[in-house]
Amino acid sequence: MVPTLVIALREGVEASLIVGIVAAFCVKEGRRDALRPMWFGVALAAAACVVVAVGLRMVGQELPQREQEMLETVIGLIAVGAVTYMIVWMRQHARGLKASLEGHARSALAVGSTAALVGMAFLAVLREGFETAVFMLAAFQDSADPVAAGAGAVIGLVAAIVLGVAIYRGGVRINLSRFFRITGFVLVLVAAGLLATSVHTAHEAGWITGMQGQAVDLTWLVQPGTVTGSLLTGMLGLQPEPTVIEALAYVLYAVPMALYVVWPDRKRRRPERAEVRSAPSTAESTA
Amino acid sequence: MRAPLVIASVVAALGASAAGCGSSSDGDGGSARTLSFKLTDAGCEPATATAPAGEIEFEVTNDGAGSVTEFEVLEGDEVLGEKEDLTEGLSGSFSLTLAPGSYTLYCPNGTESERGTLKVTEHA
Repeated sequence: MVPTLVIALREGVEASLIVGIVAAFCVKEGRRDALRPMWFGVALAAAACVVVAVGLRMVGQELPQREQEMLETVIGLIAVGAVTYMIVWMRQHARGLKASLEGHARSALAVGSTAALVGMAFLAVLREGFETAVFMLAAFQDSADPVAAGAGAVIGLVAAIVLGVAIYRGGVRINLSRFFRITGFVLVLVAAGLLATSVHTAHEAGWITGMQGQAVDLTWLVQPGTVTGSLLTGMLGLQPEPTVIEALAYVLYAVPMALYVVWPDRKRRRPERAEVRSAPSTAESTA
Repeated sequence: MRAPLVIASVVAALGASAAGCGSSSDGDGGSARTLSFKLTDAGCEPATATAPAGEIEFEVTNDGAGSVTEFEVLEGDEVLGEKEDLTEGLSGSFSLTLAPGSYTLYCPNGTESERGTLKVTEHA
């Protein structure tokens, strides 16, 4: 039961994480009306994946793995772009968010960018959906113990969806000024993970062939075949044995972006500090 | 919303490539060689294999492995073909046309034979 649970959880959580973030972001940025088309898109993508999985099974074909990896890579990179856009948008509006708490005159997301985010949720489900649907059917029909395997797969998928809902709820409830600081940081990790995962799938698609030596051994943290391991892989893109190029992509994205998220915070504090130390020059001598 | 269009094209692409795989292996008749591998907790089994050059069908079955669920064939660092998400009892196959040379078999997270070798010899 555990092996199928772990795979369904890992695949499912990648999609539900993005959908949850997109939904929370739209609500946070004053576009609650975008939720309906978003759910429509998610349902449509899920239905398309089931249709393809059942169709492949009926004609006795396997999911073309290489094309699947290509699809995951392309959509993964689009998702990195979308999440990066959210981070930048939140940073630029972080000051405005604080100031207009009472006035409620926040600048809502433009219609175009809402549509793009709705499209992102759709693509996120499509990205993992084909593989997951094919896997679910196989787990039910071909497993050594179909009941246990099927139950594991269903539990894993349900857990992934519950996590996505929890992320959405948490994202919506968290108070505005903390929202940016915490989410901004988490989003950087998520996007860096997505980038590393895209590098991983690009390798499996045959697009990347260099720097495939093992960078670090994370098997102590991301234990293969465990629930925590699949969560770390699914949500933060951590592989048990990341390659040099995966680690490089992760660090090169995460470090500058994390600094970028921290930056406006300092900027806002500077005036306060300036007032405090305005009189004596002792502050400089301690530095 | 352009969603229906996107779906249609993705479905078409997946369908077309699936159909493509089918016809190429059908057309080859008896010349395609089948190699069977099992995934175990140790890794790939067998970890070494030999086959003549040409089309090779890889049949992979998970034989009770808990943490090994993936099988890859690589040339150097390039993944040529793979099968993922094979939990206990599941099997999958893919075919590759290989030239003579040495290829790597990779069963991620295997304890002993995570990597194996496939030797492809000159066509007889």
